[in-house]
Amino acid sequence: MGMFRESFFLAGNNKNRLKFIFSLMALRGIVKILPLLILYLVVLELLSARVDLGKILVLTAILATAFFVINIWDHYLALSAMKLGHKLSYDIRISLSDKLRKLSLGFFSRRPTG
Amino acid sequence: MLRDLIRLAGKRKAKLISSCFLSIISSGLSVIPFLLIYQLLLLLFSSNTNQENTWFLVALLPFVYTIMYIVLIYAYDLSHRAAYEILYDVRIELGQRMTKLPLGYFNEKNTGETETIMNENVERLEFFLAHHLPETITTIFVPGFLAALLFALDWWMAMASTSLIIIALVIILLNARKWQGMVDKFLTAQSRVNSTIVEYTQGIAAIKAFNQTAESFGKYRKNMAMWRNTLVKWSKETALPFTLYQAFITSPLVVIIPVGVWLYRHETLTLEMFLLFLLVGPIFGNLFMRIYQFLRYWLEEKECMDRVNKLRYAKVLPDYEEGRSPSRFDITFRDVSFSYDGDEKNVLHGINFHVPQGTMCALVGPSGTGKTTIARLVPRFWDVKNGEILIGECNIKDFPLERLLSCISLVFQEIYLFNDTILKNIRLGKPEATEEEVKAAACAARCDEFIEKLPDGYNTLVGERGLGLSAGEKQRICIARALLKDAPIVILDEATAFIDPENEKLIQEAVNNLVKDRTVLVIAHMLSTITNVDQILVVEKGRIVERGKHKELVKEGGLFSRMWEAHISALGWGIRS
Ligand SMILES: Nc1ncnc2c1ncn2[C@@H]1O[C@H](COP(=O)(O)OP(=O)(O)OP(=O)(O)O)[C@@H](O)[C@H]1O
Ligand SMILES: [Mg+2]
Repeated sequence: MGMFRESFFLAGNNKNRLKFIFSLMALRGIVKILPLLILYLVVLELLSARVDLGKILVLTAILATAFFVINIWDHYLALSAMKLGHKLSYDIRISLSDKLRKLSLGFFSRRPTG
Repeated sequence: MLRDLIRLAGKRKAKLISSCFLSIISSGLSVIPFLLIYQLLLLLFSSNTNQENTWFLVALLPFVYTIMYIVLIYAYDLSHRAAYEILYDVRIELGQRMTKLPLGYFNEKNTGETETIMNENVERLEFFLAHHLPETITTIFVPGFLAALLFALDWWMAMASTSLIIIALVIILLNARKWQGMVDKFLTAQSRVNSTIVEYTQGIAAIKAFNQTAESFGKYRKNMAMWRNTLVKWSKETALPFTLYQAFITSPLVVIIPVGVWLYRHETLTLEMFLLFLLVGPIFGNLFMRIYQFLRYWLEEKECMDRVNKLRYAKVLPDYEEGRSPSRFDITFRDVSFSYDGDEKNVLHGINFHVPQGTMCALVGPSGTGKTTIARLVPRFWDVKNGEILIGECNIKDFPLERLLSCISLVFQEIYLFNDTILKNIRLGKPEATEEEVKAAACAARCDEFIEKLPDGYNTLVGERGLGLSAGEKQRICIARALLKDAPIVILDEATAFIDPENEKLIQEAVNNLVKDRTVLVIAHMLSTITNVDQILVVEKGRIVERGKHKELVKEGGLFSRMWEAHISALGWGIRS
């Protein structure tokens, strides 16, 4: 949890966007169970006494849709997470060096810059 | 790639190859459980369920897994040992190599690069050999063996399972061609950002002192933004192919189910086989997830390997173990011309001069005309392009390098002190010197009185991380170093840094002690310090344009006399530079 708190602290103004991305990631985990559930239903149908082929095909269609949605979701999630990551590290670097700019000259004679 | 790898492995080839071989065996073992599951399904659905056989198959599963992991652990163990041994060899070899590289190789750019190679790149290679290589093998061979098994079981269903994956692989292969360029761009942007940060933080004191913060901060911000934009662009460009890849490899079920149902209805597929494919299909697809990752690792690690191999096979100076020793110590340049590596244009053109033993020769001239270059050719920082340099009657190339360096004391233009005590910094000139000898040298170099005032005297830490010494004090330490070495030839490249008159007098005394009875090549920036030298060479644009004693040159009315006038009028105005 400490890591989450830290990343929120680092995020500063971007906090809300970061929260949004974290919750999307959590949701994604739940959605990923869906294909397994459908697979289970398909197997059940195959094992039943009278196999209903129509039902299996409907389930397959649902499965295909689920995959489609998951992948689009993943795509945008990854994109925005990456973008936010780059933006974050940019903001942090800029604010650090801005700080450096405002420190007194004496600070640098006491502290090695390396 | 494979050839580079073998070249890297050198003597440890056998270990590396056995490790790869074991990884392949373990990959082969990993498909056996699927076969067992199939047998289990067959048993479960057969009319006469045989309890004993079922349990036997179930018991066999952990057994197979155990053997597989034992083989894998053994493979890892081998690869780790091979990696450590190989990298040990490589490091040692690089270390030895570096002592044989021409001194001139270690300019600022190469030093930074060499450091990266010795540290980061070699470490990356360790990771590559110990982890990524065996993992890549299992990543490729496990799906390979599994595909073979699927095709052996049912041809049509195997086609259904692999069709989407083949599409995914085609997408990646089409994109991979663009990647090499992108990795390159990315690494370049990365290194530019690193140097910007270093420049900014190291220069911050000067930047602030000259009130330049706004401007250089703007430059810093601009470089950072550029780096961020490159990254964002790269992520965007790689995101779509990656998503497509992932989409295709994770959804083989979408094809397996309809094809299976169709075949099942036409009774060309048994229920057991169908169930097996439903189970294996998604697992099979997921195995390809890691191939994508490994492609990226390989691209980067190949780059590291190339860099390490480049340094390993960098051109070294021809050198002999045995050879002549100089008998006399005069320096002669005969028609020497020289150009830096990769430059077409010569920096020096037909340089001719002679410095008799025990005399002093000064090089003067405008900045960037090649004075430092001339001086550095004597200790063979680089070898001349045309002509020859002699010490005594002998070409310097005929001496063993160590012997040549042992008869030259160097004081560089850029002063460098190690992060160590003053005592050790001076002792560098002669490692076996006693403390008395060091102190005597320090005394002759006029270092003693400021050293005695320091908190720990000779044991005070100096250098980057130590105490800040003034430019004049640092220079005197370098002179003490040269004095301690007590070599018959002295090459002195005076610092251009501003030095106050008090320090300057002390430095002059130190230099006078250093040059006594030695053959000296001095590059002087203060013309008043060389009025008494035996000969002065005036260098302009890589050529010696005037030569003679101070008085003659002043009378001649050429470049030197103009420099002299500028010099004394500056002194007259009380400005010293
Ligand atoms: N390692 C190097 N690689 C490539 N070019 C170099 C290198 N060192 C110097 N040069 C070039 O060679 C020329 C001569 O440089 P050199 O350092 O010998 O001048 P200099 O007379 O010592 O100048 P200064 O008085 O400023 O010390 C310059 O044009 C310089 O840019
Ligand atoms: Mg120079």
